Amino acid sequence: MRTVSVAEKADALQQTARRHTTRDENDVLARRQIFGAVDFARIGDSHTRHALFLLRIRGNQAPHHLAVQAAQSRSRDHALGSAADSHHRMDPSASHRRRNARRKIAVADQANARASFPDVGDQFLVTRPVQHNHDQIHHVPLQTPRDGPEIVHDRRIDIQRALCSGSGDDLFHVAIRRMQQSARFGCCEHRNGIGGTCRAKIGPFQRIHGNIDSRVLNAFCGRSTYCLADIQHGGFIALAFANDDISRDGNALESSPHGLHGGLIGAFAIPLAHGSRRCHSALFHHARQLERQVLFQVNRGLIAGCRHIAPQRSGGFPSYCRTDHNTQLDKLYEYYHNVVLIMLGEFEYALITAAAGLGDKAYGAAIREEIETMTGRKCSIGALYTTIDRLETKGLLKTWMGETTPQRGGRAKRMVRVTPNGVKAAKDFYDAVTRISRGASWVTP
Amino acid sequence: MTSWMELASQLLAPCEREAVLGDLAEAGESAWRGLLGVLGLVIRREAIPWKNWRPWLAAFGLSMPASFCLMGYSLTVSGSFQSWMHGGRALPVLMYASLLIAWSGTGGFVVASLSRRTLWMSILATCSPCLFCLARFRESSLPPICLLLFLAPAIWGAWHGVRKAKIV
Repeated sequence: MRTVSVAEKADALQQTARRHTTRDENDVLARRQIFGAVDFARIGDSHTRHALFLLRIRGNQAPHHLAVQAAQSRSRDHALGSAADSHHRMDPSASHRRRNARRKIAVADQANARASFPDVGDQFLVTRPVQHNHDQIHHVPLQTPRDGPEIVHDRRIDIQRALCSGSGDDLFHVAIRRMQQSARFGCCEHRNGIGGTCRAKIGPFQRIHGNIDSRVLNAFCGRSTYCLADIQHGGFIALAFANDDISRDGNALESSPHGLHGGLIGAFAIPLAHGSRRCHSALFHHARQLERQVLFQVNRGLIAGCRHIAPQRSGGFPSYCRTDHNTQLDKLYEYYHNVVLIMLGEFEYALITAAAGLGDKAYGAAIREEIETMTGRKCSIGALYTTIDRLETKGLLKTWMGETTPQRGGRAKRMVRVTPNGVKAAKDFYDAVTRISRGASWVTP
Repeated sequence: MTSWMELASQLLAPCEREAVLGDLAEAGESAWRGLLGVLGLVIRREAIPWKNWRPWLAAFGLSMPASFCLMGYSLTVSGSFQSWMHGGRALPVLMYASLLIAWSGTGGFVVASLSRRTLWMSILATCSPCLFCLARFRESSLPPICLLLFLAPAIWGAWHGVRKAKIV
């Protein structure tokens, strides 16, 4: 099995690199491990049959062994790896008759959408497919007598209700003993879009490209995103399907089921530059293209960049789409609630702009003079230095004491330099003002 | 006026003072405008901690009411001490004194821990009731200084609080 393990290349905290792995000690389980370390996962896809994985991990947890395993279009190779057989190992064969089968994560898509029962004692703990066929759920996964009264086997289930009822009633938040539950949605409308958890091939995220009827899932978090799975409240996956044009609201997604609010979770992006194949067990048939460097800035949740993904704005929230396979992406918007979105004030923007314009000669007096020249207004030294301190606290400026000059009575300068974050914040401010001003009567076309 | 400006700049951190005075000199600001600029910066600096709730609680929620209570208890300790000197029991004196020391020290520690940077305001909030009561102290049998017995352990507690406090 060829896997593509993800290793993070973090700006501040952790850096890893993706590489191919074979099954050694460093094998990282795709979904299983991700759920161990990752709190949050999102898949965004604005183009058909391509997905951008956006995984959010807990900021205070090291994303150890984080991996995304991509399939190689071979039998029993699954996109993002196959199910876990044990806690730290992955068994691609996923023997369904072992007790550990209940740990399997089956967000799978197989030609034969059947779920088999393992041991009798675990018969309620196996993964089963969830199929959606015009608002009907035929097979509901992961039910137990204790936790699944609302999810009844072989009965019609209003999944919309299950998802909307909050975390307690969330279909995918049902914690069944130690089970790493899983489920999968499919649509009978397009056969390829459906999957079943098959007997021994339980691969996560295989063929999630179907034409999912959004009427069912849109109810969750409004039209923000789709929730696919959760493992013992350790995380869940939000899906953006191919035919989805709506924007995703990570805040709604996270706070609604988990009650979490910013700061706990970082963000990073994993692009998947695969197409999907019809009637095949592996979704991502260009798995090697997953091997690319992804930069993570874990705690800050800032996505430094990745390839094959380009941000697009959709409404007020950026969506992500995959561009051409050979397109290099250098920048990815981060727009998540846990990311500290720095919106500058007017004076802050003027200060950053003046400092950036002065370059290496930026210091207090020069910046003050520049601001007064630009704005035509007096700039008090108190406002200047308190703003410099504030921006430095935000990480948008960096200051240090410079040399002394006779002009200054032998006193040192406080030199200022705009950091990359400061440049970005200023650019965001400028873009926002430009967008807001668009169409205003005083704006010349 | 320049000396006033430099005097006011003593309220700034050394590095900032250096930069500010240098900028004012380079810009050729008048002494008066320089003084206003420095004072404005000082006021802004001092106002920043007050965006937090801790200084408010420390100054007006703890220091001021506690100083009233502790002044009253200081009088109790003084009275019991006076009665002990006139043949009374010593145990109440020890108990009251211990409680006064404990409460005062704890109060000073908490106040200083809550907001170290605004400790001056907490001190003002403590001293203002003291001055108010001292001005109206009419007890002939006790000296006015008996009102302020709590200050010594309170200062001791505040000193420890400042050393251990987080910077707010």
